[in-house]
Amino acid sequence: MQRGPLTFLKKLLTTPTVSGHETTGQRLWIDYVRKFADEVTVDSYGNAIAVLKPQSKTKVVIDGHIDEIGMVVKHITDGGFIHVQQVGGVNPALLRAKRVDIHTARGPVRGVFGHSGIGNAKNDPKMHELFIDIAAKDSKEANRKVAVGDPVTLVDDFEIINRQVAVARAFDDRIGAWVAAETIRRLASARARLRCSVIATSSVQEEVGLRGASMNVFNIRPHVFFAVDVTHATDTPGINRQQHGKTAIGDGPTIQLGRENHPVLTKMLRNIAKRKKIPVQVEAFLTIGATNAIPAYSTAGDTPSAVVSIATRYIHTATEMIDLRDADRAADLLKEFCLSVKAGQKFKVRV
Amino acid sequence: MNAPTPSSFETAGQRVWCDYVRCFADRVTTDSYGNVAAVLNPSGRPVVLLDGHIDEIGLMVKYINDKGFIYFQAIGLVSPKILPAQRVQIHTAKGPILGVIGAIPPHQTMDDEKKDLALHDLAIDIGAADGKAAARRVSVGDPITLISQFAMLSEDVAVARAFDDRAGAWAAAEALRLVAARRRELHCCVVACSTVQEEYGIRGAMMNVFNIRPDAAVVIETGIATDSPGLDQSRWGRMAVGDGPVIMIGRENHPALVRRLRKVAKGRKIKLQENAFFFQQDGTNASAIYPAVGGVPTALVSVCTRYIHSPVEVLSIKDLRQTAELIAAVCLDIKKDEAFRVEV
Repeated sequence: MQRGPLTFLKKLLTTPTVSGHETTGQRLWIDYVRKFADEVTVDSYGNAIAVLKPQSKTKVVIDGHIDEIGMVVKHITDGGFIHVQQVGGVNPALLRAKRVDIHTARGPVRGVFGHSGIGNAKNDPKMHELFIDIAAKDSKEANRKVAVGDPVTLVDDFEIINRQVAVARAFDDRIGAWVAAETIRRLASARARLRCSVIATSSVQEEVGLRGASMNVFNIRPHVFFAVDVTHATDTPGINRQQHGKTAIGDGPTIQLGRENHPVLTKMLRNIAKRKKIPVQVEAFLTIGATNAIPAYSTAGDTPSAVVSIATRYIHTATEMIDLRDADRAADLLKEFCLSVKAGQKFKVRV
Repeated sequence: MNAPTPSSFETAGQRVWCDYVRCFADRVTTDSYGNVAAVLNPSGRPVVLLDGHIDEIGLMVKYINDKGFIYFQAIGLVSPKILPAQRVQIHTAKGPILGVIGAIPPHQTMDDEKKDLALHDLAIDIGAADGKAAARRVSVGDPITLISQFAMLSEDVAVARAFDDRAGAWAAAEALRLVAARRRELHCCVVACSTVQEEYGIRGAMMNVFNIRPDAAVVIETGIATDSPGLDQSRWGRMAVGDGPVIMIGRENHPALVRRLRKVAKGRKIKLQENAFFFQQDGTNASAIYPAVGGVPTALVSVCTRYIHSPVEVLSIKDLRQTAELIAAVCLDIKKDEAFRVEV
């Protein structure tokens, strides 16, 4: 990965972007894409849209969602301890004894999820049984510092742990937002050969019901939609491949097949990968979890859509792990796809 | 509150609502599924949608057995636990019929008391001699409501069946009435909707948002009060009856609209309660409206209600009145062509 894009990725990954509170991340993304996009716009809920060659008729969207799972403050007890509610698929079993940042109107407040060795804590806690300790001496002090509704993230930063393999909180799906930006960055220098309009979207609120992409598809009315998201890597102990298929980090981006994944698009992707010698993996459509391709393909009539994924270990934990080369190759694959689109090309299932 | 309005059988309530808003709205329209929209200042911009759903949860006749007992299915989320020994009205084409949901006497239930009841374990008795006699009076598909009339518990606190969400439909109409009285100061177009089929999966609001194309929306709902025994505030947050309207933060609740609600409430000295967004994914019409037609800035305003989805829903009339006042004041505060945006 080149140094500039890598620095941008690191910044994205260390910025809090809990669903519904994505503004700081969107600002980073916008400042970055402004350098090479022809047009950058933001909608009322904060979806960011960067367009290359807006005058071309065929519109190809490359989407990554900037929002991450997290928590929000639900209740402050009389003793000044803080209870939270999940935003998206947070597993309460992974929270005890973790450090957190509560993002208040006046900046972050550090806290910890309490866990006492002498309490009778269950192995499988419910969210409301957990609490955050910000060392406030009483409810008054806690209420002065923190408000109901403030978003909360775990404190876990980006690290490269072995050559190309990195670990971070919420690669899901800041890596997708990165791939979307990186694809148009790479296309900007090849724009003379480009016959379609390429629209990178950094969408909001995927983790709370795929909402941002619903807005984008209605507003943009694309001819092609790619959701770039993470997919479960099955190359670690304890995962049954008979059930979940075979995906590994470092073996290239995955192309998903079936359901929302339009057969013409997936075929084109596979042919391009072969021709350009980009390693890819193929997997059946996701049965656990969903991506923005779901609202995309049926929100505004019929929009040919497909998912391109980055195999990720330990999704929805603070230690998500990917091979950075897979993200690089995803941007290459999507760049080559866009360059192969002919003027006025139709993407139709032949009946 | 005494009109029966189970989801997809809202006509009786819609008629009451229509007749009321006609007194002050510029235009009242209905759509094919029976949603009603009352418009004030149609040429104003932006277009602000106020939503309250008129439909209530209920039951529907499923099967009449040979002995004349009537089995039913749920309309919306009905807990079987609250049903035994309730009086019901079955709304037939020829008018309402009284019935009771049977309960096994305690003498016979000592052993199985712990068993959770399912809806199909329960049946309605209308005193019919046999299946034939019952079928003459009742048809499969007739809607059913529990009998529970509106009453005041104290000077401010009222009880009724299904404040959820006829209280919201009332507040939408009331906000429109308050705005109409000061329409010279109004810049935006206000569309108050009495929406159908929320309890089936927020369907009516999906239709309204597509047909109306609002620029902003406020959804008025009953919110689950957590100030009665047995509810854990660390889990559900603090929401108390009589402490003012509740605004929610996050997800569908647009930050600019939430800020405006706070500001207007402060100006009018209305005390607000705040909570993190409602945990249920498609819990209110706001979830249908905000991601539709390209994104509609939306906020939920709730009236704290105890014992939701039971025949004894309890709320404060003051909270309800202030909810309508707050929303009317926000409509009047909106500038010409104002847009609500997240600043990035």
